[in-house]
Amino acid sequence: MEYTMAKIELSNISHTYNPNDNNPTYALNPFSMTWENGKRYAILGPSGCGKTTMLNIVSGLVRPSKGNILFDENDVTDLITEERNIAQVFQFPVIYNTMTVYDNLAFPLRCRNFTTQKIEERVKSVSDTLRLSSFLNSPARKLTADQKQLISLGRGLVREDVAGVLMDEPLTVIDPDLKFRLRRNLKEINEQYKTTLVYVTHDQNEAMTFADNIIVMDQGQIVQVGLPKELFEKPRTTFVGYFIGSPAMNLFNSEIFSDNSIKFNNDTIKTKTDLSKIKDKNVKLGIRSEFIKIATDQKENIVRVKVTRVEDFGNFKLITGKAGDLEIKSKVEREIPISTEELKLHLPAEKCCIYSNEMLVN
Amino acid sequence: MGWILLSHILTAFFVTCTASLISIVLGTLAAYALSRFTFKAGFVRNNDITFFFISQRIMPPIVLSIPFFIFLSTIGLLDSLIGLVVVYIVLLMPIAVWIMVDFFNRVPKELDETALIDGCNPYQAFYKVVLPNSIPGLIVAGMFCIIFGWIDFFFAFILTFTEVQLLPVKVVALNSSITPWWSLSASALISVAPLIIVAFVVERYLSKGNLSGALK
Repeated sequence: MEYTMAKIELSNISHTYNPNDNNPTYALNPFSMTWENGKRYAILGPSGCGKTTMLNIVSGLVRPSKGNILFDENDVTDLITEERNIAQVFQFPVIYNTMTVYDNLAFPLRCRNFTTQKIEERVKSVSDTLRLSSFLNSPARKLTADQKQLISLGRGLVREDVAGVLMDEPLTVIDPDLKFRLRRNLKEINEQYKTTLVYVTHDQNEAMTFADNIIVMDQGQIVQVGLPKELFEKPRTTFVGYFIGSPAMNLFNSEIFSDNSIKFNNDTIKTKTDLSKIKDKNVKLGIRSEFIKIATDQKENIVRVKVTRVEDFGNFKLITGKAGDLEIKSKVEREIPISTEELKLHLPAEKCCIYSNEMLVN
Repeated sequence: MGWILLSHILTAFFVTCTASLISIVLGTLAAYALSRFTFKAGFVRNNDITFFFISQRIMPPIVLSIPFFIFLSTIGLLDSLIGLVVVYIVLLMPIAVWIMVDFFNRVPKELDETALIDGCNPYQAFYKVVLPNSIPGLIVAGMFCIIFGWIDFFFAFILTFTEVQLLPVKVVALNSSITPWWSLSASALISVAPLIIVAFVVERYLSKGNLSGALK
């Protein structure tokens, strides 16, 4: 049975590469997750956090140590790769260099006995999308690295009926202009054919612009799953706050002052979070530099800083200031003149996130 | 001179090519398995198995000569083409395994994985994708097998007598009390000529250029 356009469910999956050790280290800690049919997902995390292992488990290249994989409620854990009907694109171009570009693109269809007419039609469509039409009869090995990666991508996209297309940092070797266009093309393909796309990356901008849902991973664990906006504004852990956004989220060690305010560096900051139920008085305040602005007429949530650095990024200015020992970063419009050495910064209460034991307090 | 040597050239050609071909086929399959799968039996691991193959060539040939002689005489293949082919397979396969394991280790694993994802089963992935990418390695291994098979004098001398006589043995047999330098020189030249031709033909495949670019 071939699975086409399936809902992919990962149930209690965990994986270790040294299962026979007395104390095995887990590349993936137990987790469950569902990838709905036709959606775009991005898996985001630092190198070595288990992203690739997760993809290899779904495609069948790696058998999970524990747990099951279900395609449309059918258990496929024991099925070998070619029976899963999954497409996967690796980080570096993998091409069949004894074949022409056309044969490379046609290979997945020929393996599955598509008719010649259908093969021609699909190869033409994919090569047009990826701008490979003029190279179709060239030997694949003679192309440049980014063109080779386009072939890899093309082989992943040439089958319309796959259960999902898994992409492992596929655009790393592609130049920025083409990268932007390809991301848009992938979105169009997803919208047109309703193919589930799973995209592994460590580039947050790529993840934010591409995906409906982002899965953030760290050290073999899924830290947060959510919409780009949720991840940006309400990171569930300090890791997500630190990892997503450039610059990273401002995080300050603070103490609970009252039910809705905290104190750090002799300043009291009001928040919209109910702090009455937290036992540990030591918490962390997290706020994005995008939300910290130069105070105008605000009376509350003001922090005085000594400006240590102002960097002009072209479309914004990044102010780095010191309040006691703490370093605060604020993104402001580039037109705003910053002449004084001391600034008053405003931290809006509704944008302040409070973390107790590195977890967001709701 | 040529006519006297012709039958010996053909015999040597048959023995060398048959033994090389069988060694390459079996050696390539063994090497692929050793490169891609993990074997465990007690303390034996992949590297130990590879070493076992290579160890067949570590011993001086004289050590193997008596066991081979007894073995072939027991099964009635002494002084026969088949017997010689069997012995040469034992001698040539380690070379094929050794070269091909190293070659397959340098063929990216992702190539096989991509083929599996594209819909091949493991056997198809091997012969449709990995093998065409391994032609330079096959040619190198093939050339070594042919060279070692063609130039072997020792086993051909010990295990054959009158029915079968390979080229190197025949060339030496031309010698007599007064050395016929002209015949010896001519026959020696004829005996090395095929190897020179092989070297010229395969030289362009020896560069690994064909493989570079499968990944990155």
